[in-house]
Amino acid sequence: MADIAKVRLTIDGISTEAEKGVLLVEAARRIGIKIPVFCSHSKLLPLGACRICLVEIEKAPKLVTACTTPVGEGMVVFTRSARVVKARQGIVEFLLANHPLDCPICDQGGECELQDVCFEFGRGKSRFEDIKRNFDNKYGRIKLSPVLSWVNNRCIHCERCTRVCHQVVGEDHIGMLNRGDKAMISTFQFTQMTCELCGNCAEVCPTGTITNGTVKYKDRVWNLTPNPSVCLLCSSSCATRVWTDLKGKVTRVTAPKDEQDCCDFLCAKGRFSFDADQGEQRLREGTKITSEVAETFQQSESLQPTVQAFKALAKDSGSTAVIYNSRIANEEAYLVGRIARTVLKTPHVVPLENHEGLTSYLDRFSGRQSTSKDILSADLILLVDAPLARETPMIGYFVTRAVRQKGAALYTVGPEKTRHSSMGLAHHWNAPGASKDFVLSLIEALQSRKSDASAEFNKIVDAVQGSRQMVIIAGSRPLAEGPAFIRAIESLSSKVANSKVLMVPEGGNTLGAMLMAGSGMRVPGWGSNVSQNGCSVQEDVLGAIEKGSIKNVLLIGEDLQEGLINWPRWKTAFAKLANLVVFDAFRSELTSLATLAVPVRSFHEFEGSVLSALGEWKIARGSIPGAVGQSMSRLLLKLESELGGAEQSFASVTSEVKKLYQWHVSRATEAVEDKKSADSAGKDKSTGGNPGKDGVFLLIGNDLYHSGAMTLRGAHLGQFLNRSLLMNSADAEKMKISNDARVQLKIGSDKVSVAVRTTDDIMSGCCFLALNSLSPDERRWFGGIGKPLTAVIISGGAA
Amino acid sequence: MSEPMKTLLAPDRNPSLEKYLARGGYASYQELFKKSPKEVVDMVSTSGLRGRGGAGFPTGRKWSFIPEKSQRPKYVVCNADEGEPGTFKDREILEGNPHLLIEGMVACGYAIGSNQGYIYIRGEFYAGYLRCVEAVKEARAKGYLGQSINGKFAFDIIVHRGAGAYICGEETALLDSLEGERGQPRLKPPFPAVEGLFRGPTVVNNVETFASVPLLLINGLDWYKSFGSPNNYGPKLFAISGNVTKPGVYELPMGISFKDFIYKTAGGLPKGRTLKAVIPGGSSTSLLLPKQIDIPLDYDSIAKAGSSLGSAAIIVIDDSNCMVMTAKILTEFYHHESCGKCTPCREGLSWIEQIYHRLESGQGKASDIPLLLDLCDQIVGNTFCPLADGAVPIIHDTIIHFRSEYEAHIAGKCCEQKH
Ligand SMILES: Cc1cc2nc3c(=O)[nH]c(=O)nc-3n(C[C@H](O)[C@H](O)[C@H](O)COP(=O)(O)O)c2cc1C
Ligand code: SF4
Ligand code: SF4
Ligand code: SF4
Ligand code: SF4
Ligand code: FES
Repeated sequence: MADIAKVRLTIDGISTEAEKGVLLVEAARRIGIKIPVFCSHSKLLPLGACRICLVEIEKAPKLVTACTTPVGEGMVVFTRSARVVKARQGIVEFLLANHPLDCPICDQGGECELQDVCFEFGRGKSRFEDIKRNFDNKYGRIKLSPVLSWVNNRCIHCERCTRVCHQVVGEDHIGMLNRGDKAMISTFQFTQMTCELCGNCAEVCPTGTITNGTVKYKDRVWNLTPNPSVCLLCSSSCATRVWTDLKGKVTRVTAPKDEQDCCDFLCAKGRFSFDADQGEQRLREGTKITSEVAETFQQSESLQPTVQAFKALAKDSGSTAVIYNSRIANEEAYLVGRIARTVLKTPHVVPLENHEGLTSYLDRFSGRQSTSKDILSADLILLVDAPLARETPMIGYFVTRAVRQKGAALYTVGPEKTRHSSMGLAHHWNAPGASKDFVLSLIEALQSRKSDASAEFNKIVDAVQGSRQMVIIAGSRPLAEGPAFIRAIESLSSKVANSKVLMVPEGGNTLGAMLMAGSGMRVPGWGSNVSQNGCSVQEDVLGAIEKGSIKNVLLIGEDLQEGLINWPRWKTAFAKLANLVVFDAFRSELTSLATLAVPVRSFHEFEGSVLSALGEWKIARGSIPGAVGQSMSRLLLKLESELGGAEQSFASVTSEVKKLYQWHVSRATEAVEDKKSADSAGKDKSTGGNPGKDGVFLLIGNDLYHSGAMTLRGAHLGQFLNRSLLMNSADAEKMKISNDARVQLKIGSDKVSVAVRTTDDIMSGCCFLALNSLSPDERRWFGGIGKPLTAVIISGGAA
Repeated sequence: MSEPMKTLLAPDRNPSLEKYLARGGYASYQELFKKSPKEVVDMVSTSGLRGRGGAGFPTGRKWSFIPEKSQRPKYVVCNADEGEPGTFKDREILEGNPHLLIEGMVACGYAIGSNQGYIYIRGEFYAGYLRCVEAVKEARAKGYLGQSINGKFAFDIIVHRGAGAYICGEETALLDSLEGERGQPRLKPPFPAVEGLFRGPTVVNNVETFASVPLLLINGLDWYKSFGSPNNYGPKLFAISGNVTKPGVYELPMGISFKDFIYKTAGGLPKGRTLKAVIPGGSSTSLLLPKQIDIPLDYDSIAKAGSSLGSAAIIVIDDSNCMVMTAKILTEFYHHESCGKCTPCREGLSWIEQIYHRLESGQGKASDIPLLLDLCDQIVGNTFCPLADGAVPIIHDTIIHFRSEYEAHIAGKCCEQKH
């Protein structure tokens, strides 16, 4: 990177240096001089509205705002001069003039930036004796959202919330209404707020105006302890702070406050679903079923039932299968893989998620995928069937910022118009399952234009040709198309200078778990002498159980039953097993069938590292005092040694896991040298079908706010459920189905009755149904997210 | 054709194209298209024409900031939001001579290489709006606007109504409003000349500024400079209101005697009244006392006297007025018009208004006087845009020059006793 020119300046007598373009607040902060701010925020464009950051510059006639003024060569700045002090005191006095000062009953108290700045920089008394302004919704009478609390009287009009809404969340749900002292933050859309990144307005609000409504009046911050953790609800893998109260119970989740790009924000799922593991459905004690009795035990008290069960699994090793899902830490996955292969001595290691494409992606792109910095500095972003706001909201966040703050050009491709399509320059309709075809035609068109291409397609070709720095992002559906798609996208990337690729699987630690535990066909780096011929997908295991060749199953992860496709068939198969051992944080039919069910820590409580889709390594400390049971890694380590393995510390596993990752990264880099493979990008076209002609393509996904059924376990997000079938308006008209009509959806021999919502945001021949809007019974025949199903819509379905 | 057109105001106040042509309208196109764009900018620079919107910024200089090459389209925007108390000069052009404005905007478009103009007109000027729309239609039909003006140049105009906010007269708030955003001032830099409407390079000028350009083109530099003095050239519109017997809009050369203007041209004060103070350039400018008005009426002389010619809206205040109530009324205006973006203006003006309401109802306190002065001090220079700076002079000046009236209010003597 070219050196950025530096300038010299003096702040409060201290001489310093900063790159051109750095703002005075930041330059001062770096040398330990605090300039108070309200409207300024490191992730938002400068506004200059609150005026608290006024500073004096030698020879300048007026005070200037440090949050909008860049450093200049030879500048002499005073942040504590008499003029500055007086101006600041004035601003504080003005801000408090109309402020209710109801700190004792304000949830922000204790972490209120207004309080802090007023104490530090105010005059300590006010001359205001007149009548304070009083907005209508003094105590939140305007209900904008069930999860947010609004007290407009406490607003200082810094517009952080509205800028977050526009520049970061990518919605424009809230804004300022009215003007002057009657200006208030409100909405023009008197509908429920449904932003995927909901809650970030509360996160950035420096006052108690917008606060997290789910914890209103429940505690005081000074009684809370923040525990560094990582959210496992999608592959964005956001760093979080999980706050616990004096009893050690989780009371809220926030984003860490940090200058780094990744921090300061979370999505609604990560923020509001912290009650999901607090309810009745949590698995709290172990259950062991022997031929005579079912007994319960505290996992922390006794390791014996588990050790015995593992001994049984190990005895019959050839017929044992180990299944895991992606909601586990790298260390846990690593140990699962190692125990399976070295203690249980089985080749059958099976990730629940579809991973054909994923494996190939990891082989080619580990450590080379686009990072958040790449997205933020891109001039062109291409989203290929990537409903980011729904699947991985915080990756969507980087795209939104790139577009709204940095002016990147954005194009979207796929069967659905997404939240990001509305910020993009064009959307190109492309059938589900046919992302590879799109990429291949794009490669062709870069060489010679096709005469029959759509205007949108041509715009994309132009943009790609003109790009300086492109990032192509594909979602979980293209990933499910398998290795051919990965080769196609690699080929495209190799033909466009300075381009980066990012594939985003939906589930939590998908990348890390896959790299660390591997599968029956793919053993992690350490296991060159281990058989690579085991089962590697869940259908194989199911078949093997039914045939009787697998007699024992160990399932490890979280919310495992949700990932087993065709549950009724699994249920019957499980009945035939000799041993079914399940490690899960939640109760389910699965845990009640288990011969041994072991409670483990949840997605808030776990300990270990996580590899995010963007390639960042995040650490969850697992320091929640009220966590259920002990850390799974430590449990697995103990089991390993009880069963004859060497004793090993958690710390050494951590370092092995890191090394293993590095090994994968170095291998991925080698693979790239081999350019031939890139061009062999399957000439066999058309993986997707023909929507409409071969039946209606049913796209399955998660609804807004919901990560599978998981988030429904809590009360906060449960209220946002939206059960309707999204259907292309023109299709609906042809079929004479009106908006809100009930229809029956037939998939194979199963039927489900749903209400239709017609929309122009979905491709003709396709419809969308939220997986999590279905009951567990209805859910069971859906094949998971990724592969489109064909369905028949029968109008006039029973209510 | 008769005499070349020489005035900003239409003598018959008839906005039709037919009458305009009869007055010598659109004759400037001949001169305009003879010149290169750069020559037009140079001519405007040399003429010394200063922006008539309030700040008096040299117009030629403003135009010269527009980059020649731009990736985004360039725009010409006419600020017709005229909303400052006392200011009603632009209205005369909008309602009575709209083609002159169009002619001037075309000249600007040609000079800076823009093909699209906007007239952002104050929502309350409904008659002016209809007349501008009609004029644009007429001009388009006759080829004075459109794809091929004089076979050489493409330029069109969209007339857009504001929704009644004084702040939308501030040029960047105007641009936000024009784009469909909330009308609030933008952070500068970038200035509109670099990144203005829809992020393209943009000239924003006042109605009268644009209207001056055709006269300059038709009659030449020498004629233009025959009015006024260096740095203050040109014919100019002055709106005079308040306690004079002949209020209205007058077109006069710059530099005439201020005193004569009040006492002769505008008919002087009502019988038996004496002059108390004059606001020379719209409600945002500092008061001048009777002893200060023996000066030429131009930008520099008024600045030297400690005020500003602003929008050339002269408000004459005689001894029938209570200065506390005068300040109260204007404070109510600024409080009502504050956009709410920045703290000192939003919070300060509502506080000050409450203090005036107390003074009015006899609830004032002695401490209110120093408090008002201090609050003014906390506002002035510390706000995001100049709106709040404009609210302060009337408060400050009335306290400084007429403190006894405040004291009388505080002592419970209603100002009406003075009549
Ligand atoms: C609060 C405020 C209100 C303004 N209102 C107007 C207005 O109504 N008309 C106008 O021409 N300029 C107004 N201005 C000045 C404009 O910002 C801008 O300077 C002017 O339109 C430039 O035109 P000129 O160079 O031709 O004077 C206002 C400025 C402020 C700060
Ligand atoms: S916002 Fe801050 S200052 Fe205001 S009431 Fe709440 S805690 Fe107190
Ligand atoms: S609600 Fe909070 S963030 Fe929004 S403007 Fe008010 S104080 Fe600022
Ligand atoms: S669900 Fe994904 S985007 Fe949301 S907080 Fe968790 S990791 Fe981040
Ligand atoms: S001074 Fe501030 S609040 Fe007042 S109008 Fe300007 S930007 Fe808005
Ligand atoms: S922090 Fe600088 S103006 Fe608000």
